Amino acid sequence: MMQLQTGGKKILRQFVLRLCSCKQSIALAILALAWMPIPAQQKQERTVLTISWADSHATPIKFSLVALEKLEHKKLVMELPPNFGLSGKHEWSGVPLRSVLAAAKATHFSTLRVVALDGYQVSIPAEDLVRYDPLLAYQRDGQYIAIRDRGPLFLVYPFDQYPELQKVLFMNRTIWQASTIILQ
Amino acid sequence: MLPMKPGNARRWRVALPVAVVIAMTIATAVALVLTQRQANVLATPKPYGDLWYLYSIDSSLWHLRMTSDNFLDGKATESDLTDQLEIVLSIVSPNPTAPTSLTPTVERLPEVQGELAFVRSTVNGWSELEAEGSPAAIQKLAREIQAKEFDLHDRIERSLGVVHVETLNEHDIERNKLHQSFVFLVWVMVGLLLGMGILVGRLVLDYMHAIRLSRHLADLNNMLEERIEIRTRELAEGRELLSFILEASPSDVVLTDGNDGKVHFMNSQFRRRLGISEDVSKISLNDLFQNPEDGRRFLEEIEHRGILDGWEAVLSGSKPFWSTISARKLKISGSPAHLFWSYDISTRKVLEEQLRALATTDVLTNLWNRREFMIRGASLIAHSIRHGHPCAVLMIDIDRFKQINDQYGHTVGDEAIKAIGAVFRKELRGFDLAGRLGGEEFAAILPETGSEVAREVAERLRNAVALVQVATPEGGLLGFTVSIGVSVLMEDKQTGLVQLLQQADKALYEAKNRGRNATAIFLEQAEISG
Repeated sequence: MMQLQTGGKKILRQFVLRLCSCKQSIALAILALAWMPIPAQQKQERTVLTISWADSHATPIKFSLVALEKLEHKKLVMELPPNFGLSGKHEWSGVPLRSVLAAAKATHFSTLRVVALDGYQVSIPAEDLVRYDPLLAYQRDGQYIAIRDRGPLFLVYPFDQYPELQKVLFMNRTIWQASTIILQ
Repeated sequence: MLPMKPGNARRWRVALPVAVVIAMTIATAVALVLTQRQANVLATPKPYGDLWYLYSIDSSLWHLRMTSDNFLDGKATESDLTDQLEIVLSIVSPNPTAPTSLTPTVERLPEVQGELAFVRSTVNGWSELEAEGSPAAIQKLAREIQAKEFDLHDRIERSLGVVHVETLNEHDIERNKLHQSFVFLVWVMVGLLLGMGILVGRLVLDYMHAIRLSRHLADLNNMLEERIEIRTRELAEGRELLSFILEASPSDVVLTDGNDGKVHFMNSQFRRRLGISEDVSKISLNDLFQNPEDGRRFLEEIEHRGILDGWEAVLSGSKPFWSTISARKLKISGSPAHLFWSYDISTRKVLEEQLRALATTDVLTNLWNRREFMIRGASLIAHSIRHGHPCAVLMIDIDRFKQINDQYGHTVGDEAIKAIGAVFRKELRGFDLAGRLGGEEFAAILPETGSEVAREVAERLRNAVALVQVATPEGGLLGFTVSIGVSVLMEDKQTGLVQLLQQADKALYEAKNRGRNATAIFLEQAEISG
């Protein structure tokens, strides 16, 4: 699998993407695209998250990492419960799930069914978004998360901030490889 | 059932609740430790990801197989295939840095571990083909997946069965453990319930016992109060009766304090006799005696002997009076007291005096009678002899007294005798002893008197009598004379009253012989001088 290995390349790529997103200097963007490794570019622009409605035939909304990175950015530094087999504090950065749904203009839903790449799925009540503001993380310790690292998207709850989250219920809702959200 | 001694039963009644409490405490402590341990186990959620883990491998492998089929049919892209392979890899052999599902059951089963190791090595082989990246390698990858997927699926399925059974067993073992814990807790609670039952029963029994006791106590108290009331009434009645008896007693009664002698009680008769008012609190025992010395002796006697009867003393009053006193030492309310009753014996004393006078004196002359004269005379003579003092004895006899009696009657004789008494009282000194020895015979003892003075005294008496005249029944006056014999105590002669009287009698006989109305003195050489 092709993956960005070095921090230097990543920063450069981000810089170029920002330039592109500004839509101010197309020429510069073309130059950058020509210069950058194409598979990586493809990776970033592939759909990583699909939002659909259970009782509607509305077109599902798709997000690439690039699109997600344009949304509100948030960081959480914390330790996951021991059940995840990942000890120590880690920095999770990404976009609040709330913001993603807002960007998808999703309203009038009570439950989110989140489906993972490995087939795992779990229902999350809408009030969790308000109460705990879970984070849809796409970077761990400053690195994008590979599929083999349970990426690319990892929905994490702020376990450090709310002691009541130390339950299997919320550990189940902490879903890795999240790929689809079905609103109900 | 064995008969129990009362002592044993009592010991058991104390020991049983104590043993129950100790047993309850130990059982509760053990249950607490057990519960605490169980709570600690339950504090951390237990991961049960095994079945899902195996299922997700199987599911992702199936998706990979589908994608491979589609890829070979041209319906899926190369990246679709590699992405799906990545998903399988992320489950079977994730990066060491990836978060993982904990699969304790799988890790414990070597059989499943073996199967998983096979799956892992197969998928890792595919991963190497993917890394090659060439279209030929990808083609080979897809075909390999098609070829091996079913075998892998079969292995996972078998492992699922094994893990499922193992999981069921594990759950049952845990359930059993929990069940045993709860059974133990139930027994502890049953024990606690029984213990509490015993204690409550004990409490109820004690309470009932206490109620019975208190009722019994109340009954006893009532009985006691009743008795006290009766006793008090009886005492009050007794005191009233005693008071009445004491008040009515003809004796004088007084009760005094044994320590300070203050009067507690005095009957009205005594108060009247002493001439004092109702208030007796200021009077003490000593005030009752005319002579303070009597009071002191009385107290000594009563303290020493505790009982006193027929003690005679003059009591003070408006007029002092003789009393015979009886007394008892006793205790009133724990403090010593003296009960003292007396009887006025003034009348008896007067009678006694009269009797004594009658017994010792001659009625006509008021001189000592013969008996008294002899007693007193003997002691007077003995006294003189002892001290070597002179002493004289006079024998006096009325001349021709029989003739007077015969001629004028006994009354005139009695008058003559009375006259002699009067002369003796007039002429003799206060310490001289004079008595009528019988009939017309008199005697006198003159202490401190020698023969010369004795003769003078005798002469004076004789002359005084010669001057006396007594009235006769015929209205005339009768004179009479006496003859006197004198004897004197000789210093060197052992002698007594009887000898002296005999000597004086001899001298009197001489005087009579000389012709009467004369005085004669008895001398040593049996001569009698005129």
